[in-house]
Amino acid sequence: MNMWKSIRENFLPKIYLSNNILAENFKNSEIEDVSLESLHLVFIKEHSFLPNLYRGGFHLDYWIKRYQINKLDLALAIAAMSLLVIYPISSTFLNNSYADEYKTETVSLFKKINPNIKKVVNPRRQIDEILNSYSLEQASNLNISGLDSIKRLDIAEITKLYMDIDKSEAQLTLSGLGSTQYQFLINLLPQANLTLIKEDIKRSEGQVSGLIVIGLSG
Amino acid sequence: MKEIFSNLQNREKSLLIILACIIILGILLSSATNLYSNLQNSSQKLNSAKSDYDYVYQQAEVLSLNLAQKSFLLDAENTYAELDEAARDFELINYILTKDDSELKIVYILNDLEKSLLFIEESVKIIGITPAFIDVSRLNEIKRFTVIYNIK
Repeated sequence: MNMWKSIRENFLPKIYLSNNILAENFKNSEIEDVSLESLHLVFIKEHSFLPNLYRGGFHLDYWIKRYQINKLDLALAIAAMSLLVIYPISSTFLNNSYADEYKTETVSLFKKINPNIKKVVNPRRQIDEILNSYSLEQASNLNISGLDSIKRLDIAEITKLYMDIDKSEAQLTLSGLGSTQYQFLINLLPQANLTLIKEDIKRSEGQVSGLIVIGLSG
Repeated sequence: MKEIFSNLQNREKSLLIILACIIILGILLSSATNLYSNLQNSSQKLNSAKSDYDYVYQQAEVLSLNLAQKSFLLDAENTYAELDEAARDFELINYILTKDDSELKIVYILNDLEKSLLFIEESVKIIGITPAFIDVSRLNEIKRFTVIYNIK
């Protein structure tokens, strides 16, 4: 202590602990009783810019480097996240827009039936009421069973097609249809909602001629 | 604010950060749930509107057919004139319409099958009655159609 005094006569250190020897030798110094932990914390705070291998925490750069995420990955992730947000918003908007369009068209249908209709609250009930008011004798139907099936049977070797709409049946007259083509036709019937009811055919020289009756369910 | 935060103890800081994360996560989850719930509601709304429209359209068609049928039974000549006009529009060849007390028969030639089927649908709208029989005879590319309607 004497040697120290001889080197630096006016030395006034900051004293952070209560020690009698120090207090006696540096009477003019400010004495502050601070715990060692607080002292360390102050030190860390004042030197936080220095690298510290013992201090942990979340660093995005570290994770990006660790998992080798490049710019493309980041762009894809951002695009996917954006899609997750944009998809429901755009779909909701489109759905609402289409729903409004359907409602407008429904009102337009009512206006065509009766221009005096001002408001459509319950379309199903209202149209039923209108139909009841006309006291219809027979319910007609525009959908002719099996009419679409004729399109599928537009084959040159089917020379005659006779459709009984009430029975939902069609009689086909075949004339020289190739065996393979005939088999293909029969195999395709279920896919076209048609069923084979009766088969009265003759095969000769790889060709099929005769009559078949099919059921029209579509 | 930053000063207040930096003066806090590590434990308090961690707690505040966890709390902030939970709040942000909660907001995100709530927003996402809300978005997807809105989507579901809009889908249901669309299905309901579409279903209503289809039903009304179908019933309107029934009404239209019944009115056409009534009109045909009251004034058949007017309906035949409309059918003649439609036949001209569809460019039917050798169009012949014959009728008796029980049935109405339309015979024509047309090579375009699609067009012919459209004419049949149009005739149903005019008469208000669906055909009982449709006969298609083919000779090479020539197709002869016979459509029979039961009117009694």
